[in-house]
Amino acid sequence: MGRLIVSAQMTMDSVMDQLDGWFDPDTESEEHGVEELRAAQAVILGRETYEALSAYWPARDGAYAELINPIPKFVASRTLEEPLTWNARLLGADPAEAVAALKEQHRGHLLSYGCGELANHLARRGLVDEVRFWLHPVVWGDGVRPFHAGELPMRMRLIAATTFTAGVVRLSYQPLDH
Amino acid sequence: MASSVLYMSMSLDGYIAGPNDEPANPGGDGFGRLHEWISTPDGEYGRPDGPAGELFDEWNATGAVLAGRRTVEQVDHWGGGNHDGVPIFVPSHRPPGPSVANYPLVTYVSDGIESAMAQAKAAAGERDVVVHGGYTAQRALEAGVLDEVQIHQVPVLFGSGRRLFDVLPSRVELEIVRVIDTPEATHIRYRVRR
Repeated sequence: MGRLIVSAQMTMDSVMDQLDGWFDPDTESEEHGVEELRAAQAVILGRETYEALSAYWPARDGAYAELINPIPKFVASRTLEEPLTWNARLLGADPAEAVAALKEQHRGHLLSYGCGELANHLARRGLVDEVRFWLHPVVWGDGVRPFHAGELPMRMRLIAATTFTAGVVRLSYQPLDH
Repeated sequence: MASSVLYMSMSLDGYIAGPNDEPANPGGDGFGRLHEWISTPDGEYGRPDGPAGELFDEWNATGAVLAGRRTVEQVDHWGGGNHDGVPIFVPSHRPPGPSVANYPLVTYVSDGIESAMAQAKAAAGERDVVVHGGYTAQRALEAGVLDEVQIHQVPVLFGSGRRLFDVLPSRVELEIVRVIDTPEATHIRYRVRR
């Protein structure tokens, strides 16, 4: 049985987008992101995140690009049609059911980026085993916040706090039943 | 570049083994308490879920093992393989016991811990060398060949037993690299300053 991990990089004020503006590679978190991805067997994305990442990563190189480009991806969308690029397939009409089946088929980690509508949907159905917030030491201002689309509030239990002395703090949570 | 890393579960008061630590009672009385954090969700010994599981993976992704003679003889060299069958180097001035002839992955190194570590790092390639054993870790620190220390600090006071760093010839400065705080243990990774 695989574990589904929702992972999101963000500022101290919970801004997840505009990474170009606030992401500072000197905080070493790129290396942690590489390790996190290396441990994953597939990536699960909402349409918006899929479109943003698949437009960016295929033209890049480096350790992260070498992992993210070939890894199998599954995308939730009401509008896209197959075939998709970037080694991606659609999750189908019922993403929660499809993700439950993927968890049955895998023994390792399934990693989900984006932390938007899809993550909210999956968490509320008890399919998310761990939520990781990677907090970067910067306050940014307006932006897209985690679990921004869908029903709120969502309560969680803190299972670990990891301090990387270069500046990033990673908070690991387990969503509670809803 | 590979790092040499000591992984050790330790009580808050610095004990890595309980009292009466001897071959018939490896780790001493109450030793299991220090490793309760290495439990599956079903409570069996094995890979934990969540961030502690990443530590378990790190430990298993090692490229070679440097282990003290006392440690390897207590477990008869793990039957010749450990950490998915990587090479094991044992610094010792005395020749190995008879069972070692059956273990192609086990190498006894008689010309010092620096040499043993150099051989382990060469065998590990890009991966880390895991150091096993309190005495060997102390010698590696003294010789300046221990790069990092990963302590699993378990919330218990043993009060007696065997300590990890009881006597060292001089002060060693460490730098905190990462702290993973969980209810079961606080996992602190240090880099040795030199």
